[in-house]
Order: sequence, then C-alpha cells, then structure tokens
Amino acid sequence: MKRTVPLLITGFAGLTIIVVEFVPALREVKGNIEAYYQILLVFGAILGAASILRLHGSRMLKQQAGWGYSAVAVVGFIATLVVGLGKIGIPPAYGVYARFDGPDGQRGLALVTDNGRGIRTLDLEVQGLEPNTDFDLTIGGELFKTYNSGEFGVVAAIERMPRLDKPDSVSAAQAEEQRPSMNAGQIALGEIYIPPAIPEQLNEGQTAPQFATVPVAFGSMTGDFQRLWRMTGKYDTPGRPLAWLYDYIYQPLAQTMFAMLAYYVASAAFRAFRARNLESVLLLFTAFIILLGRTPNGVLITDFLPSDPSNPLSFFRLENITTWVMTYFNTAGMRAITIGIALGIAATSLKVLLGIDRSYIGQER
Amino acid sequence: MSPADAPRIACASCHAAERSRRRAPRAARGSATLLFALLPLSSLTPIAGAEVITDTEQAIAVWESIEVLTALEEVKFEAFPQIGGLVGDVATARELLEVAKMPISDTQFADIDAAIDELLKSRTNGELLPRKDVLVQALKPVIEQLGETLPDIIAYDNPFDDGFAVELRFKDIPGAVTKQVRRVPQDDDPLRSRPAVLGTIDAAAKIFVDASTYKDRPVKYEVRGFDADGNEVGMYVTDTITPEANWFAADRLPFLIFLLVICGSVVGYIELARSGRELKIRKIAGLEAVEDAVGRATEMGRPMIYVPGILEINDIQTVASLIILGNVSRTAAEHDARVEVPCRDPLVMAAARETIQTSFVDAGRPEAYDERLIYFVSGEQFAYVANITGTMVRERPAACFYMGAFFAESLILAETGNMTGSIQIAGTAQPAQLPFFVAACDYTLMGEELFAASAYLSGEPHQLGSLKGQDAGKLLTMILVVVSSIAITFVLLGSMQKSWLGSFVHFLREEVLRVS
Repeated sequence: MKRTVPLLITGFAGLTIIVVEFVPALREVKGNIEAYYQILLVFGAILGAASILRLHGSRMLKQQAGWGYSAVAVVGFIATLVVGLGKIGIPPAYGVYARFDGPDGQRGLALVTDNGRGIRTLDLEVQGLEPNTDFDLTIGGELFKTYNSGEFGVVAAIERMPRLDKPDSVSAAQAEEQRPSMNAGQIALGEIYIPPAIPEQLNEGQTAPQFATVPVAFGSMTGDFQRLWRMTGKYDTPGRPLAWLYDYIYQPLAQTMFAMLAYYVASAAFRAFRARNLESVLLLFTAFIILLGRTPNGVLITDFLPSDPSNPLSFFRLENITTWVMTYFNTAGMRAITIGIALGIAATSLKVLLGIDRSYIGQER
Repeated sequence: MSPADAPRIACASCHAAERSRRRAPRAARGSATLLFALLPLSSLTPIAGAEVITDTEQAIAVWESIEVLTALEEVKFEAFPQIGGLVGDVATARELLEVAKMPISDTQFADIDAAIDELLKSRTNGELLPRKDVLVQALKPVIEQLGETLPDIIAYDNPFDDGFAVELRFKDIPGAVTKQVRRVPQDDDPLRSRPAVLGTIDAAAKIFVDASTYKDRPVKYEVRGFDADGNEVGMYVTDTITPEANWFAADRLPFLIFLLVICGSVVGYIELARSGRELKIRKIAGLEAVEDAVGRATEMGRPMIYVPGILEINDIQTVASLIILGNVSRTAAEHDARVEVPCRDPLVMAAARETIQTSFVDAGRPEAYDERLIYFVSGEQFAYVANITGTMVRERPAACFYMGAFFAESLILAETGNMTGSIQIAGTAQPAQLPFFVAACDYTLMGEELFAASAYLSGEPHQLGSLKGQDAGKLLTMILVVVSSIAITFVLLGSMQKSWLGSFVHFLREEVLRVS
C-alpha cells in the first residue's frame, strides 16, 4: 500500500498531463494538477525550514567542526524571516476600499493601493454572485473592466492600474495612444489619485479627483471608496530592510561565488587541454582556434586575409573558422546529445509512469 | 546581407508560415495536409465572378492565403534558404485556396510560379539579384481579387483549444484611426448580455484574439472604428458564435505518432526482455565506477556527497537522479558507507529520504539509516553551492556524485571536489554543462546515460529492455535525419522545388518539426 498509492498518483498525474497535450478540452485538469503541486511546495517550505534549524541547531549544540558557520546561517535565517514576515521597515501604502453588499447575500470588496511610488493595484473580491455571469466594474462612472463570475459565482482579480503621470499634461487622446490596450475607463482612472496625496505626484494647481470622492459600482451594487489607513507596502519594497539584506548581503556573497568560476575555468582548462594523445591534441587545437576567434584581439592575427566572402581565402580568417566549427561540428554534436536526451527522457518517464522503474520509492529485491 | 541578418530574415518568412499553420482551418490540417504535402501542385479550376463569401471556413482559408501571400512580399529574397520556403508558402496558399474553392486562375498562379522560377534561376547561377519586383507584380492582382471576395468581419472558434478563445478577422474601417473590440454575450439571461470592451487596437490591425471568453456560451463581437476626435466612424458586427472545446489537437498528430512509436518500442523491448531474450548493453564506465567509489569511501572511512541537481522534484533529471541515488545508497548500505545528500528543494529532500530509507531496508540494514544526512540547504543557487563546497573542504569526502540538472555551479562543485581529491562521478542532461564535468570529474554520464543509469545499475532484464527501446528510437531518428538531409539537399539544389519532394520537405519543416 505504501508503494502502490504513490505509484498510482504518479501514473495518474503524469499520464493525464501527457494526454492533455493532445486533448485541449482537458487542459483545465492540467492546471488543477499543477495547482496541487504548488500547494505541496508550501508544505515543502515548512519542511525545509525545519530541516535547516534542526541541522544547524544540532551542529551548534554539539559544537561540531565549523559550528560557527551554522550559527551565522541560523542567525541569518531567523533575521531574514523576522524582517520579511514582519514587514519591518516597510512604509505604509496608501489605499482606499469600497464594500459591496447585494440584496441576496452578495458581498465584496474593492481595494486600491498605491505603493508610494505611483504603482497602483486593484484587488477585487466578490462572492455570492449569479454563476457564469458578466459583471461590470465601474469607477467614477467609467467602465473599468467586465468580470465573469464563473462556475462558483465568485470574482477574484488583481489588476495593475494606470499610474498617475502628470495627468493635466496628457490629453485623453494622447493617453489612449500611449496605452492602446486600455479602455477609456482605465485611462480616466489614471487621472485619479489616492489620498493622502504625494506632493510630487501632482502638478501645481492640479485638481485631479481623489479616489475617495468617486463612486464605484460592481454590477448593480454600488459603494463609495473610503480611506484605508493601517496598511503596509509590499514586503520587497526596494531600499527597505528585507531588500537591503538581499541586495547588500546575499547578492555580494552570491556574486563572489560566481566570480570564482573564472579561476576554476582556468584550472579546469589547464587539465583538459594537456596534449596526452591524439584526441587531446585535436581538442587543444580546436579550443585554441575558438578562444582566439572569440577574443577581440585574437582575430587581428588573421586580419591581413581578405574579408570579402566571395574570396575563398576569407574562410581562413579566425572568426570565420570559429563560426564554421561552432555551426557545423559543435551544433551536430550538441544535437546528437539533445536527441539522445529527449529519447532518454521519454523512456525514463514511461518507466516511472507505468511503474516499471520504482526504485525511487524503494524496490524489494 | 550580413551573416547577422540571416536569422532575422529567416524568422520573417517562418513567422508567416507559422501563422498560416496555426490558423489554417481544420479541413486543411491533419491527414488532409499530409495528402496535400505529398502531392505535386495541382491546377485550380477558375470560378468566374467575385462574390462575397458567406461560408466561414471558406473565408478563413482565403484570409489566411492572403496573409501568406502578403508575407511573401515582405521576404527579403537575398536570403537563399528562404526560396525553398517560398515555394512551400505558395503551395500552402494554393492548398488553402483549393480548400476554399476560390476563383484564382491558373494564369495568375502561373505568373507567380514564373516569378519564383526566376528567383530559383538566379540561385542556380550563384547570383544575388533580388527579383522581388517580379514576384510582387504577380502577387498583387491575386491578393486584390481575393480581398474583394471577403466579408467585412468573421468570428470563429480558435482551432485545437480548450474552448476559451475566439478569433476575429476584419477589414479596415474607412476613416478610423483606432478600432475598439467589444464582446456582446448572447445568452437569454439578461444578466449575461452585458458587453465587455476587450481592447483598443491599431487601425491597421486585421485580426484580434479574444482569449478570455467562455466555452459553450454564444457571443457576438463588434469592431468599432473611431476617428482622431473620438467619433465613431463605422462598425462591423459578427454573427453569433459559440466557442467549443476540441477533443483532439490534430495539429500535433505527427508528434503523437512519433511519441507512440518511441513508447511502443520501449514497451516492446521490455516485454521482449521479460520473455527471456538476452540483451547486450555496452559498458558505461561512469556507472561501473560507482561500486569502486563506494568501496573507497568505506576503506577511507570518509563520507560520500551526493548532489541531486538544483531543480525541483518535477524535473525529470531530478527524478532520474533520485533513481540513481536509490542504487548508490543501496550499495553504500551494503558497504556500510555514509552518504550525505544536500538538497536545494525541500520536496527533493523528502523524496531522497524516502528513497534512501527504502534502500537501507532493502539492503537489510534499516538501523544504519540516518535521515539527518539528507538535509535542505537553501533555495538560493549560490548559497547552496557555498554550503556544499564548504562541506567538501571540511570533510574531504571520498567520493562526490553530481547527478541531475546543473547550471553555473557545475564547475565550482567539480573543481572543489577535484581539489579535495575525491573520486567524482557526474551526470547531467544539460548539454552546456557537460564540458565542465568532463574537464573536472573522473567519470561523466553524458545526457542519455543519466537516464540509462538506473536500468544499468539494477541489471534487471526488463529495465535493460527500455534501453534497447531507446536505441530503436535513435534508429528511427537517424533514418529521418538522413532521409530529410538528402531530400532537402536535392530541393535546395533547385531542381526538385516543385516536385513531390519539395512538398515533402515543406511538410516536414512546417507540420512535423514546428509542432513537435
């Protein structure tokens, strides 16, 4: 049972995804399977966190060799977690919200937030609606978008809203030209700002309407925007503590690791290109040509040769030989490997999905 | 033309063919297309008059043929390889017109053929003279004549989809600088008949795809034209259409056939092996060395490090890696060696723990299993690498295994392992990383060998059968490569462009390779 159930789940999920590739009517099923995988990832994150704390905590307690590194890892982990989850140092976002209450128990909320830099987002959630029905969302009397309530009578959407970009200097026609994918209602929203106003967003003497004064309607339900005070911005707002930790601690460390590649390439190349036998000599010779052909100054060696493609001697220019080797020899070799990989993937997938190879979940011998 | 221009030019023509392929009506697809492709170009029966088409399928075919022919005008004929495609595109346009039973005379197509002949002749003579003007002149009357037969607007269900998209094609609206597309649901329920503005598009646009509609719900579409002052200057309205989900993606038929042949040969050889037939498999040095590496770790009393790649559990390379891990850990359990498995994905960690635990149980040493040796490090690529290289330097493992998907970290890992004096066995299906592993590791499983490892290590006959099945797939691929290479060589030489061989090459290129 312990092995049969995972095998059945694997076979069902894998074969379904293959079948869906040829049966478009079932594409929704593929989306559902992928959604289940996303849910699994959330539990995986908890597993991962527990594993980190257990591994490094154990090393620290036992004061094993290198336990200091574990201490740094644990402190870094907890600090990042606290700063990220607690949204420490994240500035408040400006927002307005409107409630919708329908006569038959329909309820909803439209939330518009501004992250302080002109990026504005609409979160819309309405439930208890007539299923499979289109509803218009209008803001300030202008149609923003039409939503379908789907099978479950629910609308849930997150929309990027137009920025407040010097609204008095851009005519509606110009704005429409700049934003061909937006309708008139959306463009009009670009001229409404969310209080409290950010001074630099408004030009002197501007009288753009505030969100708090415009009416909003979802279908036949109407509401008014109200200011929302107690909010925080996005957790990864640039320049704030979490972003700072990432940009100024993690990124330099990661780049340092990456930079070490330069030295490793040199030492690996030194070993690989030692001329021990005929194959090594051929490899060395080819690599030498490619290196020179790909180096700006390397091609100067054969610069005396004609560059006109109609002259046969032009072939012997280093950059041309390099292109020839990469286009024909290298591409042919890579394609052969790629075809082998594709066939290997097909065979392995088939064995796993049909349960022929079950060694990854253990196999009685 | 500079060499750098070549891909861009190729893309211009390919794009037209791709658009044609994607939007061709169902009648011109699948087996019908196969037949068309294998037949030489047949003559068309002229139909007098230029009446407006009322049949949707017919209108789609004509619209697409215009699109293909118009795209031909835009091709830069200095690019010789495109001439082969040019003949194919004209053939595609002709097929579409045959489906549409359209009034294009043989004389007009004869002009187009003559223009192409001239291009081919210049190719044969090794000249680079563009003769686009000749072709454009031949194409112009055909395109104009076809345009007169088209309705102002049509809406049709997007082929081979899940019923959530409708395509619109429409003519220009005189005086309009922008067009607005609206969807008007046609359900009986008045609540459902609210129109939705789908977008504002350029006046020159002739096609729009509504990918947000719902299957089995009747809708109409309106395309309204507006002048510079925002005044409405015209409107086209479609007939009612009900998008439906399709139950078979006929455009993927060649791919399906290929897949079935490959999978069938794998299953066939597995059954053959089960029946007792002996199968010979070549030695793979990297896998032969696994036991030596484990033995070395046992003798030295040092651990082994097994890195299962940096992708998640849903990548087949990671799955293949876990299968190999099962075999390696079983050998380790038998030799009483220690295997450390640092993971970049928590789900890989969970799966690896399960794999190793069952291997230890299978080896008869469940008490030796220690789940603390399989741990999650970090989801960040270089943090993960830093941890592994640090562990290598501190613990000096006797053997390192790198099996799975690797990227920039491959050489960092392999060089660190090399410096610490470990036996290193790597395997990946990332072709770009193979040279690094080859340079720095003792043994490397290249591409397909990674996937063959499980069958090889298990030694079970039915598993080895799957490797033979892969070989059958390789044989089929080799035959296809050789036949196609010979065919395209003859076609590009110019003598067989318009023969069945030209159509066959066109079919391979447009219908088989592009979809697959």
